Amino acid sequence: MAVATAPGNRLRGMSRQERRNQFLGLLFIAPWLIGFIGLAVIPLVMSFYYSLTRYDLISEPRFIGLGNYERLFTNDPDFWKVIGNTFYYVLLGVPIGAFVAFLVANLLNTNIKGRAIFRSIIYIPTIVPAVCTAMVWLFLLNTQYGAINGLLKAFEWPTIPFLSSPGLAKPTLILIYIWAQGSAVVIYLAALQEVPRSLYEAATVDGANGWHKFWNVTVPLCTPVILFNSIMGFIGAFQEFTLPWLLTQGGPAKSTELYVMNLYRNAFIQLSMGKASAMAWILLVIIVVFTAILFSTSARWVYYGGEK
Amino acid sequence: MKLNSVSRREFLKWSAMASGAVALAACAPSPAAPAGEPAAAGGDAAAAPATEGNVVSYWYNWSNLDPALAQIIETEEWKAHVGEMTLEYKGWVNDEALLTSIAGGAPPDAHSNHAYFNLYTRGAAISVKDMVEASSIVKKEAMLDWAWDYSFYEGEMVGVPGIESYVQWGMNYNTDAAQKAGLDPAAAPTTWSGVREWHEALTTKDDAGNLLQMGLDPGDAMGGDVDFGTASFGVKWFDETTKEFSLGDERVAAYLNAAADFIRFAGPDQFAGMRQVQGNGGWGAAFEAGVQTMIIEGYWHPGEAMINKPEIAQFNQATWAPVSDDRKDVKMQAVNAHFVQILKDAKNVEGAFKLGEFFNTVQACDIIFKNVGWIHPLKEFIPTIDANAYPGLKFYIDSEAQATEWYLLRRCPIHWFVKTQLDEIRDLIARDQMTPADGAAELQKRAVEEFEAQGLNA
Repeated sequence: MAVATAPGNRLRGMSRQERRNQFLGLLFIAPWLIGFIGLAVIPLVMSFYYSLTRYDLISEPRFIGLGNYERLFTNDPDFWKVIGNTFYYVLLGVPIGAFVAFLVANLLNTNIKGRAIFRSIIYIPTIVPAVCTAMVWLFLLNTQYGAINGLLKAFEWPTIPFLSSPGLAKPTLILIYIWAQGSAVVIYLAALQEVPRSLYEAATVDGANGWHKFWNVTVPLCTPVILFNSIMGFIGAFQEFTLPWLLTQGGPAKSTELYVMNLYRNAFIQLSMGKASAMAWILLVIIVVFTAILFSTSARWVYYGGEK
Repeated sequence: MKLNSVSRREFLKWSAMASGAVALAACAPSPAAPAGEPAAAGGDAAAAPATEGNVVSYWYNWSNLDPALAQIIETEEWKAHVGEMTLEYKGWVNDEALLTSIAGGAPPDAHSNHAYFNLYTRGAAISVKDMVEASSIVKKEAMLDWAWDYSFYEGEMVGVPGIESYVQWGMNYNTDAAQKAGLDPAAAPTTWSGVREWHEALTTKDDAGNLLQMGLDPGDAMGGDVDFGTASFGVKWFDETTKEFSLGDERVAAYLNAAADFIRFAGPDQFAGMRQVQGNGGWGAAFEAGVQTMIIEGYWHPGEAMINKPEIAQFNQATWAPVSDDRKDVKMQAVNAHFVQILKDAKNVEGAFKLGEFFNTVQACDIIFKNVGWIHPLKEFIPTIDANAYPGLKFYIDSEAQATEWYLLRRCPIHWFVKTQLDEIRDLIARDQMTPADGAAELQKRAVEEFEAQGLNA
């Protein structure tokens, strides 16, 4: 009969040297452990507790059960609007972003002249601070002083309200999101360079053309990385805050107010930290569901080498 | 002889333990001095609650007060008033930073230009009534009545009035632009319909229909505030005694329609684009950029504009902020005093109060006026101001005696929530996606529900 060993017994069974090593190991990971508990676990637990309270950051939280969740789902003036805006942004932005990044990576994987320079240029948006990025896009797109509209004005054509029309503002944000896919491109490039040359050679011998090789060799072998980039893309896009905040502040008419922007507004401007915490937990559930869907479908479209 | 050596492993172990102990000690909260009880102001500085070196920390949400404060603390009067006390000041601290410090239990001693009534009604700030009563500097008789009255909430004083607390409403206009549009700058309109006519004349587009210049942006600066729009149509939208909202009133609908019409005329998309000029809808930025030619602003506008953009400010002129046509004889003015508000967890309450007191001296008022253009309504100081120091300032100084209706601003605990909703609804009406009546009803509904959800109706 197997007998479970209690931790105390396990410790007692250790030699002096092993116990010392155990202690030292814990000591060395203590800075990380303290940080993890203090900066991740406790805030996580507290935020769940706050989501069940009426809390304004100043007075003591007052327990109201599921009141914040009920308000959000039934009569909050902004909740469904920001859910709609965010899903629009995520469901269009992430797939298009992944597609464009993959295409660009393929182009940069060819033997074009100045390849290193192009690769650097593509990666630059990733390392530029978001505030600078926002300013650059404002200077390009603003109806009054933007370079693009300046050009249109010079030809006496009507300007395009990229960021000031409810119909155009969201697509413009998606465009900017796609522009900043440098990290994904680099990861795709690494994946592309891992595709064995022998497979392309075999395909050539079989009479495959460029498209056949791309569709039947490159894409399948990159699907694990496509899955990874998609998951990271969805998580990042659901949490998008900085660029829309700097570019439009949620306007016009709240057409670009994304979920986390509204969460922030609730927490720090409207002093509804309880409601904001509830929003954070709802977002967590949404992200978990999306990730689970991606994982559950991955068996059908992701190819891992060595599988049948 | 046996050497007392330390092995590498032992060295690492003890180093790690020592580092861990140091890190833990650094994380431990420092023994905080208890929040001082309100002490009699004007008393001996040595009687201040024991703090390290008698420091008072002061945060404010302005970007342009620093030079004035730097001058103030160098004056002999300041040194004589505070003794050995050191002032640690920090500007441009936004609401989020202050709230986080309060929630984290490490706030400054005092602050200015954050949501005073919000903080006071939620218990984050203390009443200074007792300290003021004992003060020989901050006195009711030394200040204009409305600024004094504004500092009270349910009988308690929410902060020490100071820094800048003068009149809040006036319609400023660019006389140069008005003349070029064939308008008479000496006969500026004071009703919404009159301002609408000027708006039409001052809004210009190129041949392709691109907006080049606009008249009035009804969402900008003080004009965009929920207090102003409703008051201009004769509605007090929130009653702080009964805690009732009147945003569903048909006059609020009329206001929403009037404001939306300004946007509709210029074109909502182009209007929004214009607002992004110089700072994405930043307060008053479009006027200083010369692309907005009328703006509803407070008394600080002439001075600030002159300091920021003299080439535009030289053409500035001001008149009464517009009212609805049926109220054309009403001259509205408003108060939104600023305070040195002392926070509940302040370590140096007496020092913070002394700071508030000093802002009530003519010396401090003069330095602030010259550096920033702000006015604190001290009876002794107002006559010393050169009303012609900045174009347009004279209107504000004269308006104090001529106003027929006064309003106290931003007294509702969900003021900024309502303002955000108002901005959205006004925009939807301008885009013909909502009727003004529905907009007013929706605004009322949202405000009531939010007030209730925040537990403020109890």
